[in-house]
Amino acid sequence: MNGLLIIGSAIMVFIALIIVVFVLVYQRRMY
Amino acid sequence: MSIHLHLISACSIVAPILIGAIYFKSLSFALRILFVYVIITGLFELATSIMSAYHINNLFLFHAHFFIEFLAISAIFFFSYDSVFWRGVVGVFLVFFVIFSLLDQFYFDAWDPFKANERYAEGLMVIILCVGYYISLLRRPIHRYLERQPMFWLASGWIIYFAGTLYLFLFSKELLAMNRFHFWQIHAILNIGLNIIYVISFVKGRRL
Repeated sequence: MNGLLIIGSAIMVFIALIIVVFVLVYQRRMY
Repeated sequence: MSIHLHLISACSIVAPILIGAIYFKSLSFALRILFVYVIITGLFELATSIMSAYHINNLFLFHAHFFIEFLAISAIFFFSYDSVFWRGVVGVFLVFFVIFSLLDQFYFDAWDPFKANERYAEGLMVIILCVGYYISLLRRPIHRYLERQPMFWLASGWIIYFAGTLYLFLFSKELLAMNRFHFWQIHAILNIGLNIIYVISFVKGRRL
């Protein structure tokens, strides 16, 4: 259960990081 | 290990307070709201740590804190959005949050000491507000270097923090009942990361 909790949170944080990097890269290209 | 993490997490709030105080005069209005919120959070951390040391139930302080947290985040986004639509969304979310909290208190989950439903609703709404900020950024690409914008750092910090804790709060009722789970450790790591983001926001937000 501990592992599941850590993996779940890590996946959520990873998805958020992907969104942040996407915004950063996309905005740079559009500028 | 967990005690150290909690201690580092609680003490890490000192860093944004110090940096915010140094640059306070050169901060924008939205960042000044963040500074006031950070000071309130620091006082809450101090109070909860003292109460915890004396084995006094401090959960009511967490409840009060997450109301202030949502109010502060909403206010910061309200003054940062360019679009009238997203400012309206902030207003709707605030009204929804108050009504939902009252309903949850009296009808849905009156006996849940952790108020997981409200935390979950808060997390979802903050994530939507962050995405709204990103959408408004992408519609009007006026900043060449986004990484120099304090609000971009703040929105990124919040989206990471609330995405991480959203999963935790989903199972919080079950997990908190079992002390051996790493609930507060994961929360402490995310909290330390958020405080570092606050420091970066204050540094990036100072007007030279």
